[in-house]
Amino acid sequence: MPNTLYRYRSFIWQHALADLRHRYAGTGMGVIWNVVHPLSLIAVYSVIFGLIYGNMAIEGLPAHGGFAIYLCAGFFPWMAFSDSINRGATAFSGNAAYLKKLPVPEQVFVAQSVASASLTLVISFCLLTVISLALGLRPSIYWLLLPIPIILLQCIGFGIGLIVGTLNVFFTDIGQIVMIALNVLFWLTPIVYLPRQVPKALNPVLMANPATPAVEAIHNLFLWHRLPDLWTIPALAGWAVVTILCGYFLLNGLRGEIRDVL
Amino acid sequence: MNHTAPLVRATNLSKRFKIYPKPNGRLIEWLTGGRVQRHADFWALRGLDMTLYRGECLGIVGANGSGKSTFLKILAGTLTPTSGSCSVDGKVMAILELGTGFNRELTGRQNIHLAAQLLGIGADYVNQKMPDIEAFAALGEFMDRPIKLYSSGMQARLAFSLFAFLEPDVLIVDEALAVGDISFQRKCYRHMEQMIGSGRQAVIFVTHDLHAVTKLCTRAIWLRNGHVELEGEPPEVVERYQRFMLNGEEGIATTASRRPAVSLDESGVPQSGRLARCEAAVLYPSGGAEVLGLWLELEDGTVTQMVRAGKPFRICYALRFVAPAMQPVFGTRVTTARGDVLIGINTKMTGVITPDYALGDVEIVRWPVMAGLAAGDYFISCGCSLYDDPLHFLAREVDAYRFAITGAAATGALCNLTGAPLLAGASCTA
Repeated sequence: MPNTLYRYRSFIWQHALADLRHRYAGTGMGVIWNVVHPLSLIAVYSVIFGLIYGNMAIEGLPAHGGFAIYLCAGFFPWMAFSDSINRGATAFSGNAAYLKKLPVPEQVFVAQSVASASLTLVISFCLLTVISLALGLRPSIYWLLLPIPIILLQCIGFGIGLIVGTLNVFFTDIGQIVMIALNVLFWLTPIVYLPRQVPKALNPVLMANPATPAVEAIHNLFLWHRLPDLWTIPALAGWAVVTILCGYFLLNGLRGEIRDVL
Repeated sequence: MNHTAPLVRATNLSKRFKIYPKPNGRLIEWLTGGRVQRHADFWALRGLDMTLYRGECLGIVGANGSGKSTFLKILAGTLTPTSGSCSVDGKVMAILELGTGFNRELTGRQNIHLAAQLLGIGADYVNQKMPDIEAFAALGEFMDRPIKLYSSGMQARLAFSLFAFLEPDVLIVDEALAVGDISFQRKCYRHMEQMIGSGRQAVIFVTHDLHAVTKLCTRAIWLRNGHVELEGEPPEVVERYQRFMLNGEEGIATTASRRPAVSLDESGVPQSGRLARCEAAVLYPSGGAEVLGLWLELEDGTVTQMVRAGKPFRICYALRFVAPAMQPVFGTRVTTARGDVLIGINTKMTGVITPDYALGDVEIVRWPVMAGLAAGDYFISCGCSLYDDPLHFLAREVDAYRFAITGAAATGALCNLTGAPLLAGASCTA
């Protein structure tokens, strides 16, 4: 599988770029929307959590907009993760035109969904960084490590995308199940709340969520300028290996039938 | 010029599709580990054998659902066979289901690059071929406009140019040219002839334009129910296929003896060789008469389903009256598949006085056809109406019978001359 992905790398990359360019095709501002959307999210969160909810102070973060920075630092990676899975679910059915016509390996289209979600993440995270610096967050050498948890999280997204994408060809209800499951997972990830606010009893549930270690690691590196907890990176790597292997075997087992059904 | 090793070899190729009547049938099968079966098998291919050599153009004919598309998809590598093997010694490119593979937001040029990436072809190679592709497609400035602005003909131009110039070992052309305009079609045919002529490439040509098969292909196969019914010289395969399409199983049987002995039943209707009602038929409920059968007769009375261009023949049909009728009007009509009416005639127009008929009477009407119909497929309508009110039909069958005129080139024209053109000879006194 890695070599097929490598062989189709330029297709994956070009298609992900085209996605970014054409998502807002036909609109007046076009590509600019890719920037406006994350900006508006940051603005809304700053207002809601800064003014309405009272300015919840988080140690080590700027007094103004600190909570909004915390929220976006977890929310943007989550968006990329859930986007990868959501779009992975329709990667085969949505690209039926290609799959029926050309002998392109199926996984290429899941990889393309993940690549395009990751590109959006890069844009929004860069914006967040600029705004955070403006609000008074200190830069740090630890930021250079941010790609590690992000890439691992997207690898998990790729693995889950392979699984749900394959199943969705045969059972179209999978798409709906995925949406509900992602909503539950979102609230089981410390994005809107702080880990210390979680009751002890719920902790194991949170830890069983693959997004939790990733968001924790990103928070530590980006906000608090320290290395993530030791367990997070192996946990992420483990999740990535397991999901990708499951997805690979599932896809391989059903490969012959996918194009019959599409 | 290696003719010894086949470029494509399909051996005992079979393909089964599982048909699940209910969407959760598959889930039940999975959960029970296959102990409960909830699907029906559909065999699109059953033991198909085929070989293709470089320098060949293989025509594939067959009715809808005969397995043509499934076979081509296996060849192109998008479907996996259930059993048997299919090996290809080279690159296959298929112009299947035109246009669906294009990204509608991207320009023609970008789509060429995209398709090349999908086919695993290097960018350098594409850039090198780009001038050829552009020149052949002749799309002008549309080359740099998004596909969504293209007409289907333009998409056909782009697709054919793209696949033809990326130099596949096997080019599969599946009805792709039907949407292009005539001059582009002509260009495509010429290009395919060159590809075959080079001896390095091969073409698989699938079309319902049977004349094109006889003209372009070096060999033809007729697929029926997922296997090769007949393989051989294109004219022979096409004729047998055409016969079959016109008259079902009987058509195959009559190929053995081209002129079946005409045996008539007591009312004078031939027992065999009548045209079967075709799929396009619109049959109206009987208003007092019913059509017993329709057939074509040559001048010597031979019943036939196909007529050579230029030969006079008769359209004949028998009607039985189920109610008395006074001096009814008989009529017939011959149209092309597009609906051009070539012949439209009735007994009133021709001044034939018809008798009165009693219940149970049978009448046979014969229409001599002198028109020099060009080679092609035609549809016959027949009927019978009241003398005073020609729109009050006693019997009416529209486009119910199909027949073919065979022979000389189908030029797209509907009629032929009655002989060769005459030249007065040059009179030049220089």
